[in-house]
Amino acid sequence: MLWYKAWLETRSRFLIALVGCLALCPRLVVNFVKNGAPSQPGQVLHATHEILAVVWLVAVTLLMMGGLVREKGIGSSSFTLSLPVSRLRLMSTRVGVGIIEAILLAVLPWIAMLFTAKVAGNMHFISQAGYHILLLLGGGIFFLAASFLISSLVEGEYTAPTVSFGAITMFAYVLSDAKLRPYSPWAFMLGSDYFRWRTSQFITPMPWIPAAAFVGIAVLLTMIAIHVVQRRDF
Amino acid sequence: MTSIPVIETKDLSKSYGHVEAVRSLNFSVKPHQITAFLGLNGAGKSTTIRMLLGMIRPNSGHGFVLGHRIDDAHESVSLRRKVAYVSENKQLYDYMTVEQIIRFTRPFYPDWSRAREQVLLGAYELPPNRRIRSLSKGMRTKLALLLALARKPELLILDEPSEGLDPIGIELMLTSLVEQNSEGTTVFFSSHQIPEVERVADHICLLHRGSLVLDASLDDIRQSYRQIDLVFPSPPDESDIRLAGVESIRASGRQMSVLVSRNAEMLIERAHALHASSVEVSPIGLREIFLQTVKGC
Repeated sequence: MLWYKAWLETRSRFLIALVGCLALCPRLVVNFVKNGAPSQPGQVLHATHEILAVVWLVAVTLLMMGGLVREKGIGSSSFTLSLPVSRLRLMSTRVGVGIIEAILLAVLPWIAMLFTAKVAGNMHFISQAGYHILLLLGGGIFFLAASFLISSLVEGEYTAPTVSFGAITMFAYVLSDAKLRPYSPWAFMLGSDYFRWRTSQFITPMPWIPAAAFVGIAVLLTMIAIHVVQRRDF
Repeated sequence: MTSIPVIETKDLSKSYGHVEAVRSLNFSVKPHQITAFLGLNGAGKSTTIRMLLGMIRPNSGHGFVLGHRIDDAHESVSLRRKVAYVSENKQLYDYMTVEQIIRFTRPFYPDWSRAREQVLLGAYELPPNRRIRSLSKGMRTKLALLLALARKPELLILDEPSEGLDPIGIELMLTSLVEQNSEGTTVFFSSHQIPEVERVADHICLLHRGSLVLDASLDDIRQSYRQIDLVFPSPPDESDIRLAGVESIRASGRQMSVLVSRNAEMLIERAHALHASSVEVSPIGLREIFLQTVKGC
């Protein structure tokens, strides 16, 4: 039933984000195709992917807001903590639902984009779509975990998202420096360093090592968040 | 009938910075009784209850609920399965409907009674499809009570359960508490409402500034507690009349008002020995005991 709770808690935010992505991304594909810029099919989808990444990041940050610390602010944490479940289970469920929603927010818009591109006569390989989705999720998992950690540290309905967006913006800005760019999860999500515009192809096989590194950092951030909440008074 | 305490604390303490919310609290709650936890706002009642349920970690001391250690996360889960709890603010999930929160809560507890759920749903006139955010404070309180009372727990802990309820709601709630207790559930509830405490409680624990200042059965209180008003030609030293059993002394000029839990006769003798010009002994209600105890501390 904790999954049911986590779903009801995030349902509105998730559905708004999903409908927004499903409306925006195919529309962008159609516009790009109609305007003829970018000219190549692969470029159209990559350009749309970059915009999807921005929307995805905002949506996932908002989806990860909530949990026991926010419940403490609004007063419902007493009820949650009186349930015969551990804090570890409560938080794991939230992360689980967040990951599933994040995956759906990456995959479903991409399916819509591919379908739209096909209808518009703009062919594209599914493998390229898979590559984009893995980049989005591989780098995005870091931001998902960072938002989860911030929502476990900062109380307040508006304070936590404000701090999250501030931290993400600062993080992306600092790592936008050319020397630090290889370590930037945001640059990884966009995939610009792996995509060659001239050929509309990815120039390397899927970069599993940086993806694994970002997942590893995300796991660490999640463990810190769980540790913090387990020791906190409510 | 077992006499192992349902709740037991040993030197339980909790501080927030320099503020001691609970100070070396030692008390126990006997099984199958209704125990009221009295105290002013900020006395430490809610902090104690939250420590018992594992929401707050004590700084020192120990606590046991139904034999489970309260400071062990694993045992805390087991004890919460056997305990029904209504929090002070009765805040539930605003995004759920009444029906959804019942459906959500039900599977966590094997002792949930569908029949009781339906009875309470009807008695409290809760609209199943209404979102919790649109319920009044009284309705939210009733819903929080339903989620606790639809079960048959070993222990029922309620923090200010009547707050926000109208007189009919309070009556329903008190009736439910007595019914639950008659079926074997131990009830432990905090309250400011002396009349409702006097109506249902078997035992009183009075907390003041984080310390237990009264721990007695209501019958003992009624039989033993007396207020003795004394008038002296010249005011004696308080230490002269602070005998065993004197709970509090209020002095005003030549007059003294003494609350005793026992040894009233001995105090009267001492007052006469100190040349008291007037000695009046009167039985005392819980309200007066409460006021005198917290003012006298």
